[in-house]
Amino acid sequence: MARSKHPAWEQILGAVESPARAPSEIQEHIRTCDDCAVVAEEARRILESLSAEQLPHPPRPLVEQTLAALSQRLRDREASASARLQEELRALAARLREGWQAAAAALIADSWRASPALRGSAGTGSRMLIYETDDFSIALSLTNDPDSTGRSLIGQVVPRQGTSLPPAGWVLVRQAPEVVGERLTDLGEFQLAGLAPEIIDLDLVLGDKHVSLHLPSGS
Amino acid sequence: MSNHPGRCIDRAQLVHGLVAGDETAWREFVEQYGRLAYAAASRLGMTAEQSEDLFQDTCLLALESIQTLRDPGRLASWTYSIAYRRAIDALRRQRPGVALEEVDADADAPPALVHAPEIAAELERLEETASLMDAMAQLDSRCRRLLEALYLETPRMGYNQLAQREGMPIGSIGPNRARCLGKLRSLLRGLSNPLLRPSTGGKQDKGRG
Repeated sequence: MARSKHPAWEQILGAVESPARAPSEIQEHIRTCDDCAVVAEEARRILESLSAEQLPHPPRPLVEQTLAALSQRLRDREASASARLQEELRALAARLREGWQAAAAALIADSWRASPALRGSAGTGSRMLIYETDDFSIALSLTNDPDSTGRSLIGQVVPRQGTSLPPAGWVLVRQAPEVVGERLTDLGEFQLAGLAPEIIDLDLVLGDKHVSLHLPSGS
Repeated sequence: MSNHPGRCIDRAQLVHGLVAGDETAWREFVEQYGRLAYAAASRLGMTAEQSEDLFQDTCLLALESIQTLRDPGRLASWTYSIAYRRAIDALRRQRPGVALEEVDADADAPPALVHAPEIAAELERLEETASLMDAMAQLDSRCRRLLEALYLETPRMGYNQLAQREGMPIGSIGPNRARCLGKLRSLLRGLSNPLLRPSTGGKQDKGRG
């Protein structure tokens, strides 16, 4: 076989697995061609590794003990994250109470106003609202939770031309006795569920800016 | 039972669960990938107590550092690397003068053993197993099922049985097997895999498979 015409992978694999049955010209080529010798060695090692002895199984009690330790750490981590979130929310709420001046936001679109007929489905449908400040567009979708009296709020803050989204944005809903809220995602999205039905005030903290939204009545 | 843990599990989904702190994902990790740590302990000649410590330490350290796993496709190699480093640390603490030496400071690669060739060979095989697990996890599901049935399941499946299970002509199993092994080889090369590293020696592949 000419040096320029290398055997196919399948032929080399066959020669590695069953040398006795491999055509002599293939064997000879592998023997004299460095490149094909490398491929043959790779095939041999892959087959060898696939057939290697089994990894040992650790004793079952050790596995269960390790899982219990992991589970405890996960619970600790979750509790700690939740406590940190509440602490940050309380600090932001305190700052808002101190009179942090809000940037003006204008309601520029309301799906119920655009299509009054939709209001008839208010019991289950969503109400879409769009606000704008000088720097941001804020899209909101309010939905009644199907299996409770609470409501869900899904929203996204999008920077307007020439601005960017601050890295650590927050959305807060003040509902007595607590403040609920969450961080915005990198894309400025948020989703809050189980909100009290009467909620109409929403605070968005966007870097050093604060936007306060008073949702229209009947939302 | 499989030689290579993690089979049949969608790797990206598993890693997503691990990062999210999902307990089912962590159970999968402990039961399957933790075996690499247990095997490393055994190959380093650690006592039962040391082996248990290494197994648990590796799993807990994985929980603490899963966010640093840059490539989900390398979960097994990453786990092995954690286990290896913890094992070397443990042995150093136990025997400060032990003839082990780090020669590779690359943070992504386990340090190499230079004074214990027989142990090094055992560990190299384990590192290869981890790499093979990573490559298998990246194969398309059809190839993965085929290779697992032929090589990893106990008892191994014959061509007849496999043809029936997969609904494919028996005559196509051989060519499919070769094609899947070729894909596996390509994946191993893409992973800069230790399984292929020593033999390639910088030579250029001609693009077979």
